[in-house]
Amino acid sequence: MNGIVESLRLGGRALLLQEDAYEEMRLADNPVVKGLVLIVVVGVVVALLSFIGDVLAWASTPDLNTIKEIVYSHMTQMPWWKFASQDPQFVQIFNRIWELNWSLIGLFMPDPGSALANIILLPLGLVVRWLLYGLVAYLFARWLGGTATLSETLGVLALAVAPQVLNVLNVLPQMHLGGVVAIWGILCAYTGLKTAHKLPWDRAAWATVLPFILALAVSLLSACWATGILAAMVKGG
Amino acid sequence: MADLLRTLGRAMLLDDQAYQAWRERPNLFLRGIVLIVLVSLVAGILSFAVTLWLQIKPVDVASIEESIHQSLEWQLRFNPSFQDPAVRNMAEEMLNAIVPMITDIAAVQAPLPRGISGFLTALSQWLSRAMIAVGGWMFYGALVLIFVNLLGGSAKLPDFLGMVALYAVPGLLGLLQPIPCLGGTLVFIGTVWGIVVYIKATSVIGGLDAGRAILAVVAPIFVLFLLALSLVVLWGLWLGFIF
Repeated sequence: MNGIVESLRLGGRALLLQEDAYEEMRLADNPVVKGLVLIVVVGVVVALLSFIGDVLAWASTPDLNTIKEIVYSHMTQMPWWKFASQDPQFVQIFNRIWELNWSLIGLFMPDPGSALANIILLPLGLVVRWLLYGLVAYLFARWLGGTATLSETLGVLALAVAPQVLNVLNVLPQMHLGGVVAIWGILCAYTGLKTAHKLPWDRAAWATVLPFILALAVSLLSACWATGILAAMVKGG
Repeated sequence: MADLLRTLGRAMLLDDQAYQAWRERPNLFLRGIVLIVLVSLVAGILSFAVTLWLQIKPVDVASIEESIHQSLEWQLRFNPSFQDPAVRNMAEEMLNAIVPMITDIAAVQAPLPRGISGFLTALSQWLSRAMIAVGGWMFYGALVLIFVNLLGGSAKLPDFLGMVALYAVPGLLGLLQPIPCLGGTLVFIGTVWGIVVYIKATSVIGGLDAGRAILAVVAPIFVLFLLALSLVVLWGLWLGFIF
């Protein structure tokens, strides 16, 4: 229990970009385990509160199926429908598009069921992201002249999860945090890499953003590849 | 507290000593966050009140019906395609079907009482604005700091962000936005004043002269614009190449 409290306290100081918090994490006996504990605790707490937020959002929203039925019943009484519905094929196609559109709208409606699954999925996602980003950032930092070990790098980058705490505000339905969690997280990662690897500001900045640039390049290449295949299919067909 | 307010007031008048006094206060970064959040919340308090009122008052079907009728009147008067009697007739029949539909939709109740869900929605929107302001302050501040360093200045990230947070204070003029005619002008003055304070704060914390501080503050706008433009052009070229 003391370990969790200590990790959370460290996370609080890391949130305020205090370099000594990152240095303390780097010097910890086992920074990876300490970081993992912090990530899991933050992930579970945020997911639990987000679940409450989703329940409140669901309770604040009128039933979508009732609205769908009302709209359909009124629409089928409109003058244009009387003409159009004489063609059975039109009715068939219309109903298919109608159902598809409402199922798409349904995807954006609050769903406490999927929020419940997030209690497991969110910490898991945070851990996977931390490991992936940590590994790539470590390689770039070392390439740029950094001195920290992988374990130390993962330890300090675990502190970059601290801004996720802001997601507890999702307990309020329709709360939008914009990019504040991501931006703050990047600033924490920069401070962590700079402190742990003892890099000057410019190299630390490159080590922080290069994993994102790499991910962006991979996404763009994938998009180009996908559109290339699509174009070949269109031209071929 | 009085001392803090005096410092903030003097900083708005670009007094060097006030900036030094702000810089020497402990936990500059935390102070910056609190300042941005407080100013955003205060500036948005009227907007919060209006949203709250709109959210909790019962749906006024009659006023919705009236606005739809008004819109149709405008179309009938000015839209040439509505001059055709058949189109006109169809639009009126549609209207007769739409109004009862809106009445029925408005009657659908959410599980939570309207007052509670309305309050939660208004509160969320109010706090969201503050959080988005914090995100913008951090994002732009980090970019400006890069240019400060490139132009020969230097500052630690948390100290820099804490210092430039002073730019938010003239945003309090946003509180006066609802004043007819004058409101928009006051918001514009607040925005320009905020930029001037940002430049001054950058100059003091980064150790740059005024010219280089201006360059550091405006450069990210151009860089972001050029970056977005080049991505769009590249994407367009790629699509042009493959299709």
